[in-house]
Amino acid sequence: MSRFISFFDNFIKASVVTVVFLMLTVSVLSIVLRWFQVSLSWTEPLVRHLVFLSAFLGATLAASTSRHIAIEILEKFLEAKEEFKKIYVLQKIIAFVTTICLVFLMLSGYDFFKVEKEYGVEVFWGIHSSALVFIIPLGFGLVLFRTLLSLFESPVNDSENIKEETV
Amino acid sequence: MAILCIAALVFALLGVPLFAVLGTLAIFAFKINDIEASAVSVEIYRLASAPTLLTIPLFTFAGYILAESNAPKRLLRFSDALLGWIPGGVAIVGLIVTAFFTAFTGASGVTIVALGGLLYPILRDEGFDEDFTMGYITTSGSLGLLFAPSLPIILYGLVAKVDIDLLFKAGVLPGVLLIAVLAFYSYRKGNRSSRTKGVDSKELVASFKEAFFELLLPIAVLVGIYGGFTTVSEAAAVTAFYVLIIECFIYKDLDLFKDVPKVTTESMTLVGAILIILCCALGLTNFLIDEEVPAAIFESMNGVLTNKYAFLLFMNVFLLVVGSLMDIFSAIIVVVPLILPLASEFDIHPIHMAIIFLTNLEIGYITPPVGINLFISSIRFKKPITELYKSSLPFLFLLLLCLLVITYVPTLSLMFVE
Repeated sequence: MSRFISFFDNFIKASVVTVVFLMLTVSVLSIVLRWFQVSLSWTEPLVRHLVFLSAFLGATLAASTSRHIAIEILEKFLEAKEEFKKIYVLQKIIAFVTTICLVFLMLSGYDFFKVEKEYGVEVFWGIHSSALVFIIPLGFGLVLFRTLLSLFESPVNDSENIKEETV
Repeated sequence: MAILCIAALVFALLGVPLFAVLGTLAIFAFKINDIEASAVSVEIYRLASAPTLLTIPLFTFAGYILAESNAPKRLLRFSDALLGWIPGGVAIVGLIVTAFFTAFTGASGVTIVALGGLLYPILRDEGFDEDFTMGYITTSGSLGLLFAPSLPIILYGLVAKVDIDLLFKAGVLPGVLLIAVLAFYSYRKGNRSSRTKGVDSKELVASFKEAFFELLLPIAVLVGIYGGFTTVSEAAAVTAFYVLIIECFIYKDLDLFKDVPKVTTESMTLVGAILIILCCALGLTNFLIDEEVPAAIFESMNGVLTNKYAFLLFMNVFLLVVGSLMDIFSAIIVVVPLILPLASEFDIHPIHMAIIFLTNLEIGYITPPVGINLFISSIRFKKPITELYKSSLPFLFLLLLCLLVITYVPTLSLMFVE
């Protein structure tokens, strides 16, 4: 299980690095081309969607390191008291509730994708808007999958993570 | 609906990520009003059309690259050579350098972790007591949020639909005020006998040469944006590219294939956490505005808050509480759409409101009992949180005085805008 989690995390990391370098290259390229009075219409929507995709990939990484923005008063107090078992239980409850929420969010994205598939238009490079909208259910799906993996991570690994994070 | 809100509040206080709470709350709120759940995703997708969206990942990426390199050491060396001869000069130098880093990283945790460890032994060696040093490091972690190209300013501009260039200009004087007041306090606390030397011109020139490429950065960004030569998005792209080149190929602090991917994933984790909550909150805030919730709040407060100044005082107290409980990014995303209509009813300039809002949240970082900087310092320096409450108190008091000036003297925020 831990090997699969590690593989999945590395895949997301590689994807996010690729996306960031792509968005940086395209952005700088479009600025340079403008000096030569060359303007490419596809760079702007491409970059915006790369940022959109990077948001979901980053959110998946945040799920893997428990770094999503949350009101962590309870966890911080437990950390200060070094109550690692209670933190472990709390994290599992949080992962469970988050998983359920993510199912709703993913389904909402999928519904939008279906609507867009029917009524959408081509945006750039012949890419249909529904393919771009699909980033939403796909992104929430990735975060959901990683949160589910956290839910089933072994207690040993989790305790170590908690201690590492605290240090 | 009330049960739904209570459940959301309980989950949020339990520590469930805010994006999940807000997104799900939005879905159910729409469903109760017979609107399809896909409406939430429609709102989420609107984010992909925001033209300044690119600035968030690229400025954060640049900030993380700088923090991971030896740039903090080089900038500290130069600033020390320039200002270190003043009593308390090292502390003043630290304030400027931490403000620079917070402006680029936007996340106070990064500044405390990257620079706190560097500043702690220097300040102690200079004769500053433990209380001052800890209070100083905890406070300086959020100093600089009002300067370009700070992430909270960009986010505020996106959420409030206010011109980001104008916000950058508006933040200059209030940001300088905060640093100046803390610098004066550091000067007063400085050990006058510890430094007898004057300016070492050789060291000044050497450190300037060493940090030259990094010193160009804020000047280039500020001139580019304020001078109207580049848009904010272009400035972000150029900054990220420039920082990558100088740190990997000129200073050779970072390896392009070994270190940069690690820094990229670190920075994108933060970006992902911010943007996903922005995505999910968009649906909810639009629902609340459609349901005229801000107007209802205004109506309910009408009898209590009779004038602009009473409203501003209430805002200060409310936002300090919010800032001490919530992360600055989620606070901007959740609270801004609700208070903006109220501020407009009381005839408060949207740019002035932005600066008040951000200053409050900056101070909220060190406000007991749960200001996030207090926790980060407590963990980083292994100090009891109660000790940090005590250490940060004089800094908190000074910053609150500045807040009053920023709140009740709008000219300070609007001088470069109007």
